[in-house]
Amino acid sequence: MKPKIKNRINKWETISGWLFVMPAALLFATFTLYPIISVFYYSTTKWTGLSTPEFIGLANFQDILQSEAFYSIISNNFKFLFLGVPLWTFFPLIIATLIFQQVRGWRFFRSAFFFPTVLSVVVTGSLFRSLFQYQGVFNIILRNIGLGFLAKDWWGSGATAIPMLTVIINWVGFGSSMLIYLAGMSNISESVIEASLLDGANWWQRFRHVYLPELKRLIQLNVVLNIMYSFTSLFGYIYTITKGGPGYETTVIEYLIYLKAFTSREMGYASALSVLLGILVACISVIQFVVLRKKEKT
Amino acid sequence: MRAVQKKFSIGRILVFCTLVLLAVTTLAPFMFMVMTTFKTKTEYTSSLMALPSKVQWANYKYIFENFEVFKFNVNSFKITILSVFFSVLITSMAGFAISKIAFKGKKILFALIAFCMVMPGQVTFIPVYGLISRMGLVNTHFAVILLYVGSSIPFTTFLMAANCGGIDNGIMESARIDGANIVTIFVRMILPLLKSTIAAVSILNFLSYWNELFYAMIILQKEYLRTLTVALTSLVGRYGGNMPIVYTGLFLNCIPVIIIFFVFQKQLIQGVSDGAIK
Repeated sequence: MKPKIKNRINKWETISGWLFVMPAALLFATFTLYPIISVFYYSTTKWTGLSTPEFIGLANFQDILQSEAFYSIISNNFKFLFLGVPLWTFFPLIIATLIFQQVRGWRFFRSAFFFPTVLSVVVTGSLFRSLFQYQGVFNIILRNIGLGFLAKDWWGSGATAIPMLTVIINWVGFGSSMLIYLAGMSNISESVIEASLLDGANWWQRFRHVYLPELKRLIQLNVVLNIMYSFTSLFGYIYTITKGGPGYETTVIEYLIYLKAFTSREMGYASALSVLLGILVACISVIQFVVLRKKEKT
Repeated sequence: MRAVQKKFSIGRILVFCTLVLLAVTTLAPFMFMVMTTFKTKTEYTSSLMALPSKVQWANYKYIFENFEVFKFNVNSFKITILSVFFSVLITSMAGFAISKIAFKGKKILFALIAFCMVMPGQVTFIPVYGLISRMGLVNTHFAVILLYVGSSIPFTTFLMAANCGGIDNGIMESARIDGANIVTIFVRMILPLLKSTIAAVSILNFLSYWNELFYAMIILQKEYLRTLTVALTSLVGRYGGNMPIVYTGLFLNCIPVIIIFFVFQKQLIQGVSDGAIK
């Protein structure tokens, strides 16, 4: 982007430029920039949200880092990460390569797979909560096909609830990652694909040598987004399905922030958790930036 | 997407069957929900999977009489449409300025926005809530609209700037020489050229605002102000033992979204694909 009009950088340009960005810049400064800075301040206070914040230094951080509950909650995030990231990244990739073979009705499949992504998390969450209850449809199906011994209350413990949640998130979201992969694949030149067909490459060889190298960047992007997702986008599902329970077995850090802020009104403590989450997210994006940069150079 | 291989083979049949199976599992839960809305509670508890004996609308009637569907819909539509409108207006202006006007301070602004783009709402919402409450805007639709528009700014501005950058500078220059001022250029030339981006962004934002839970829930604490999406969480709590009623409420929330899905599918697919590639 090198505007030709650059030779006329003048006062008028600057004024009109700022007038055009002003509304966006103001909203951005008020609702993003200011909060990012002030959350650091709030994290050093004791504050109910109504009272005046009272400065208590780093006591909140001390409390958090010394509590065992915090580590078990963070480990829940990592469970989502380790189970979810491979599933949410590669499942849509496989489906996209299958659809890209131009099977009969691919347009229908593409739409059908994309459909759940437009529904509200309140809808999908509440729906799946009931489907996977002990008396729910899923267990009935299991019993009907002779797998009744597998039937259980899927939300009854973290060990079954977390894997189930990652599967549900995949059910809802794989359609949009699939679309992204499909868009990437349609950029692969026709001749490369044809050449691979003439060489008699089978599906796996084509996938490995033609699609995969081309899609590397998108796969990396998806991995990063999904890692972020397991720290920042689970709230809706947790809130509508397990409410963090049983106990704290499915509570993740963002849900803990919500609980501390709005149920027990410990806004200062919650802010300290926010700061920790923010630092974590910042680290992930720095790593992503460095890794992706390096890859681009080679 | 072109024809890659039209040959008839076992492999292709397998692929087809896999996709059919996946399509069934993808759509079945939703179909189950819709089917259940036509069943009575007794029918549902005696056999979850059976089809309704006859299509009956009692659940819909009940929910319209006992749950303020109309009011919640009005709240939802009001918040969603105003947010979409202001988000598109503000971000297209900013995207235009960033990509086409050389003004001082632009680089710093751009870098700041890029830096903050990754910060999730969980990091900022406590100060945001504090701010909203100091401004006396808790329990107002205005606050929710502000937050929706504000949260859309980084990503949507980038998308607008990327698409606006592709517009030829020559036509702008010649319009300028003809004496058009910058507002005229923006309204008459840039906006029409950004039409498809605006359409995609509007649709994607409509869906995310309509479906949004968190901000709407913490800001709108009074029942009568709630959006349909937030109101449903209390419906689920209240009628937990009567799933046909709950499902009916959930389905009502899906109707506008389904209409958009069918009418604007092309733009929707375009929008999702564009966002990642750019």
